[in-house]
Amino acid sequence: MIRTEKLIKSFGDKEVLKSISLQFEPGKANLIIGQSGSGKTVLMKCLVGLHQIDSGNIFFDDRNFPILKEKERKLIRKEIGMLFQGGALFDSLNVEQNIMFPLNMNSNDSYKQKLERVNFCLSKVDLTGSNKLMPGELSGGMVKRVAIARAISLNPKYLFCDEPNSGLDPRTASLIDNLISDLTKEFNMTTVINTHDLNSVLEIGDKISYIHNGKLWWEGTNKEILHSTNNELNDFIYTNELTRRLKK
Amino acid sequence: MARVMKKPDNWKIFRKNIILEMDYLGISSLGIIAYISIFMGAILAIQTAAQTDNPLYPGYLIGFAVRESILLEFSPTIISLILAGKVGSRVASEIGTMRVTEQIDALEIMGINSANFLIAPKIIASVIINPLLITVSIFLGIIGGWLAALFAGVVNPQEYLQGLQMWFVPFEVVYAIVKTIVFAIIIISVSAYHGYRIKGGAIDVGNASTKAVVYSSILIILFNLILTQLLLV
Repeated sequence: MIRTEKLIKSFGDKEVLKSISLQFEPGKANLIIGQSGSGKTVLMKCLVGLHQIDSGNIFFDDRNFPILKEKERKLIRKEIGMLFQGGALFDSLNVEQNIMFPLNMNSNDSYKQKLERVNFCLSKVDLTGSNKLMPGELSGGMVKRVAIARAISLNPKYLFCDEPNSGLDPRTASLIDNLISDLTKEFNMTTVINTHDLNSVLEIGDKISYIHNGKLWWEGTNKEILHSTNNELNDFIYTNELTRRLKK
Repeated sequence: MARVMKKPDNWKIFRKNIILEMDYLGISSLGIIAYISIFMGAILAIQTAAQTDNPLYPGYLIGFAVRESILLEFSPTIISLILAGKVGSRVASEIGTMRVTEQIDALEIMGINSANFLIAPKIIASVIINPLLITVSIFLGIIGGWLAALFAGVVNPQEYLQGLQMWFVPFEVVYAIVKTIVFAIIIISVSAYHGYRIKGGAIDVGNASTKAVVYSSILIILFNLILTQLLLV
């Protein structure tokens, strides 16, 4: 489980995160939603330690991440898998080497054992046999799937996904969403997904946190979100004529 | 810089990366260095001969002048400036692209010290390989001068060889190697700094690459003066 308490982050004079307290549960797809510039990417980068927070606490199963020493932080980071918006695959390495990279850095397994793990991860994302392809040869959806395979290669306890289906067609986006949701349940990971895609929200949102102007504005599930009476949330969801008519 | 100097996360991969970087940063530059060194040696011999076209000047002075010019200045400094352009821009754009495509963030998330993983092997590889490149450059520059003596007839080749061996001060080789090592550290650390600190996109990668070459060159010239004052005077 991941828990934040009164998280504050500013850039210069601008306070981007305003005392955010949240809880992300294991085995669930925990979605952070909000408009562009609402602070959700900053929140995710604070959670994984890419941004230093100004104040507050971030607990990874009762380990307060911001106050830990670098050595202890590294141990938590080895329990984290992250899917970046653009995939962030190492472009000089092929698919197999990309997925094997965290294993090479963090495990003493033999090459054969690591290769087995790579093939297992590739099978989970339905890319069996694509070991030798280079990132430049992959489609957008395949890049995301390889990135997911790399993220789960060390069997992480926590999975972070930053806009996992941005730039994908609706069908591939749905496949990626369901893949993340299935893996979350199968491996009982605490998965945090940053998105502004309403399809994802409705399809896999076990727990949804709406961030507005750097504040936690609403929390609920995908069942509850359509019936919310929160004006700001409704403005975010029902942005076009079609969705407004559907609501009516 | 403090993060660059920390203990590597995985020694085996660190050593492997040093070997790879020696190839990328050093061996791949061998062709251009050989080409420039041979021609520059030949040009130096012809120009020196043209300037000393007087029967009072002995022919061996040309060999002596070529050796001194190449050993003291041309190979360590000019070749380092060329490497600043070739290697510096490559390092800045490689690391910069990794930054803008979130590959560096991906390394950090995996618990890897990205500064150490990406920059330290490059510095160590350059410190090892650049003195070897400069040694090759000195050797080829002198051969270039000898080829000019042989084929252009600017000086008797025997006199050229005699001049090469006259008044040789072995410390000058140490001076050349020390300069090369310092310049290697400057090229990689300045270029890596500009690549690593990028914020933005493709244009910023280009800007960082340009800055890397400009600042490396400025520092090389500055340290050339400082080291010459410290070591030779």
